[in-house]
Amino acid sequence: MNDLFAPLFEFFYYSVPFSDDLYAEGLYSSLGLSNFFISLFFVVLFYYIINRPAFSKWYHWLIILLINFAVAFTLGVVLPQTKFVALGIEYHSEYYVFGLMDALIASVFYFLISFMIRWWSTNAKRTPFPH
Amino acid sequence: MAKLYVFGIGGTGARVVKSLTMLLASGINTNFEIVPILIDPDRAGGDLNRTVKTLREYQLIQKEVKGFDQNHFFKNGISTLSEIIANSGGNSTVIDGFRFELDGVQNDRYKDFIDFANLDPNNKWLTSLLFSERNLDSNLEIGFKGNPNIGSIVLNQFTKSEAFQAFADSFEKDDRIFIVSSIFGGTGAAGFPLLLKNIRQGFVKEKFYAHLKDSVIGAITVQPYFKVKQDDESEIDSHGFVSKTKAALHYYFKNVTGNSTINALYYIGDLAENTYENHQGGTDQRNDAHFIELASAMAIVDFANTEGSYIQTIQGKAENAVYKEFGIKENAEHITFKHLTDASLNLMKRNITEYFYFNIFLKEKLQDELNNPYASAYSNKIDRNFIDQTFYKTLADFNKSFRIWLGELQRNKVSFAPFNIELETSTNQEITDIKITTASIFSLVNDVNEKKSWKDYIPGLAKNNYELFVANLNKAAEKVGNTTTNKRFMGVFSKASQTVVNQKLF
Repeated sequence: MNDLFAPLFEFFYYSVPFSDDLYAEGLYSSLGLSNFFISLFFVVLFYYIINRPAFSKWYHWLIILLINFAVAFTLGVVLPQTKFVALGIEYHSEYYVFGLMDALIASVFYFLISFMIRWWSTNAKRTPFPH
Repeated sequence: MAKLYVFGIGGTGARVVKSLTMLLASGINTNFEIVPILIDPDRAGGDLNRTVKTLREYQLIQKEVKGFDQNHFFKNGISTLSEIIANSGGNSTVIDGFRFELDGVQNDRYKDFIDFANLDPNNKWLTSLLFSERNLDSNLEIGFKGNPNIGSIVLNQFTKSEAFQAFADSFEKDDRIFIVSSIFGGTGAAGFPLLLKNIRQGFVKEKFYAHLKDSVIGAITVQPYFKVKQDDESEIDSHGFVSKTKAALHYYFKNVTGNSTINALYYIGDLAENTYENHQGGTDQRNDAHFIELASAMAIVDFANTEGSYIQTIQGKAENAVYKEFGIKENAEHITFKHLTDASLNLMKRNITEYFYFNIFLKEKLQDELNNPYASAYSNKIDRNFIDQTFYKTLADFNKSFRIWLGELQRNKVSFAPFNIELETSTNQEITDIKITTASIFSLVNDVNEKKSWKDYIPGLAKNNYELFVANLNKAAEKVGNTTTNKRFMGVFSKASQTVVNQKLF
């Protein structure tokens, strides 16, 4: 799983030795999976749980995307930081740049999943824009 | 499908047929093809013209959704007599457009119609005995102005007309006839017994029609329910309404009910507390719709729904004739659904409410809600282009007539006010539209509380007002699927209106 997600993360952000340490600690795997499931959760929340006409405009979809972004960013910062601090490895700005890239990847997931499942939503099948 | 020929005689007949059209638009189904035949010498009559316009719009809409099961509005077919004849391959040249011309009344005084000048002296004396000088000088073009003695003579020629023969030719075994007339005026009071007698004889222009003689005939005779303002210049004087009614009822006792010619006779009337302008006829004779007319229209539906085994005609005689009176639970200045009996409620409460919400949504919200999936997520889109097309424009016109009709029912006395609406009027006090002033659309049905679910008690959780309507439209669109835009539009709105009313009201 780590090998599956590593190219994706490293396409967006690759910095030695930070990225190598992420790979060595298997964090790409846990962050990739959490990005996917968090994005899936927010997409399902928007299209099937909230699923109401008054909350089906493109900017409503964007609000959920931003929340997804914020959650992914937090995870992208906190998970590596917790791990590396425990191991006594010291990084600073890398956490935040990586966090941003992690949030971006989660946003891509959110976008792709949205377009895969939105047709079956009753009230938001045309959100964020028509087919 | 069997046909129900509805003869609407005079101004009341036309207004009852208009109420019937509104009921049919709301989804009430009679299981008969309705064939309205409006008989009124007053060609320019405002009420007659409004009814004809409404009927034509209904037809245009109904034609588009005919046979489409997912829609329940405009379900019942309405045809003109000429369409019936054309569809059955007949070669009659009758072109009716729902109303029938009476020959010889255009620009004619009554004395010219009966050729008074050429009568021999004895007949002149007899005629002068039966008709006043004012009667004889009466202009027939604007009707009989409350004179059944004139009406009976002039209307008699309708039964000898090509139109009446075309009706007889097209009449089939399971078809039925319903006659709507007022008993206190001129045209209707004279026309009903005359028409009934001619149908029961079975002869039209010396040709015998067995089906006609043994036909099942219903009628409603509308007793006084309004007065007209006193006007010494006018021939219509409402002081005579009650005495005319008594005289006519006495006549009916012998010649309608007493001789078993009618299968079902409905009686209706009111205290006549409202006063209309005294217009003898013409475009100005345009009275507000009245609850009595709506109830009379319900009588037509009741007649259509009565099983054939209960009302039969054998050898031209009605067996076990049915006599019914319309009533409400209690007297009220403003009648709402709570005042109606179960039979009336079952017949129209749900349908009329569903159509009201459909209508209000189209008026208030449709243009703002075209981006929702029900409108835009399917290949046949409900968009600005659709709104600009004839089908929608016709529907919008019909819906406006429906709203004005509701407004008039509310303004009249007795007032029928099932919905909490406000009236928009022109400078001459004609109702031009209705408006709603509450933001909570499910509080619009008077004396009916909005149904609440647990979600309504958690702020922000429940879908309310138009949002609930749109959600149901989106859901309905998934069920209706892709078909022509007109059908899809009607199917989606008909289903959604039904669900919304179920969820929030009844």
